[in-house]
Amino acid sequence: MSTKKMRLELLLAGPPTKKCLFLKNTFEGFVRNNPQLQLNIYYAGSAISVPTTKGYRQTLDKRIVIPMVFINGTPIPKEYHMDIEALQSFINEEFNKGENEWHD
Amino acid sequence: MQSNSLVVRLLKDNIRDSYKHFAVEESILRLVDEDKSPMTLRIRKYNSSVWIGVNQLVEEDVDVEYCEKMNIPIVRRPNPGGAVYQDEGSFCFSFFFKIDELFQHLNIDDPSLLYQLIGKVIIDTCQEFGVKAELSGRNDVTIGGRKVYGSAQLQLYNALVHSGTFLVKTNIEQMTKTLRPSKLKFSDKGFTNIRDRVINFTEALNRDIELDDIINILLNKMAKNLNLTFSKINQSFTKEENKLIEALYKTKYSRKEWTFPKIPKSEFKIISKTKIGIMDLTLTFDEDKIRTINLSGDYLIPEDTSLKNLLSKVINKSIDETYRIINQSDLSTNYKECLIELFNKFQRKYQNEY
Repeated sequence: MSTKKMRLELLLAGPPTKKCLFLKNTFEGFVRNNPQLQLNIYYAGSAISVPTTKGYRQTLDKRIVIPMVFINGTPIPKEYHMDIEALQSFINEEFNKGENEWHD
Repeated sequence: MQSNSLVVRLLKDNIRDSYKHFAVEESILRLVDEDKSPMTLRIRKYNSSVWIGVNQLVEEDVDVEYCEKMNIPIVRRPNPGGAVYQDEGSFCFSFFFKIDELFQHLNIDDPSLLYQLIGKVIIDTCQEFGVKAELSGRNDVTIGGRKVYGSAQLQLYNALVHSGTFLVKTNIEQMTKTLRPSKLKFSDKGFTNIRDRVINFTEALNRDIELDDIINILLNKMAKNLNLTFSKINQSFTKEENKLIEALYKTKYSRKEWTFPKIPKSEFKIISKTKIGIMDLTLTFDEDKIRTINLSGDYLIPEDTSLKNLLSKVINKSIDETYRIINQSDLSTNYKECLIELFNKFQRKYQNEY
């Protein structure tokens, strides 16, 4: 069985706000339910100890938006951040593309 | 009060300690998002200090040794952008608001438009003193091509803070000694040093002026251009703000780990302007071998498959082996030279740190 995982990335405030904790708990739930998902949580201003996806790096800008949510390196629009069903759908869509389409 | 104008709390708290200052910034933003603080314009003044952007490495942009010798504190801001030097000769302001509320009021839908609207406030302020200024890039205002004002934004869920810094009579000599900005950034903008890049408003005006004289004009222009009504000056915070300010000061901004985070020793990031464009190399290095590698940036990509092949071949290889693999690859000479230049930089950085 392949060991490749699909990346989920969150940029949150540090220390996390209540809304950040909601997102963190939601995504930790996704990963618990699917071992082929890998969650990386970055806290604004703190050192990042893993290579980020290209999609994440491309958003670094003069303006920081918290939170940022990336599923397989694709940014998720803010209107879906608090919508668990929509987030699950985005994950399913990217996951079903197959591991050749999963970005490092 | 103008019709339909928005009422904004005007805050002049006179906190000049940089660490405490940014605890205040983040606290108000968090509480505006939670509807626990009102829309606020905060006028900020400082003692001498250096602030770095949230994503920067201190050692790359600041002369830490000089700052320590001169007792100039260095602190990481919560917002992005480059390293800046501040002192009693400059002032900043921060505008905190709920995005939906202000954008509906201004009839805009894109935060980047706010850079233009507030940039126009700065230009009108300069104009009031007979000084011609203009917008430059997305977030600066310049006089005669030199930067007098810069700005940045930080959004937290439904709240946003737009911050601006205005150089009035800052000690530029001290600025040049504390900062060592990337030559890469300057060369892209056609400058070779800080002195050519920035200007004090008093230099353009050719006379001295008090900071408050400019601040008062700026507040009038902001109220008029954005149709705002400022409250009487507040000098203190709400109970809830005070509590959060203390917590963020103690657990975040006053801690050395916030400004000088411990980066995993094995991860390196090299950015270089090469003849094929800006290349950004991130790699982890362990027991003298490359363990992970990523190449990105703004450069002309030759054969993408050749590059992918090459990157996969250098995993678990030493730097000497990597040079050999690059030289034996089927990439063009130009491209090989750029990669070797990048790995040379990595080697120098690695040797400096170990």
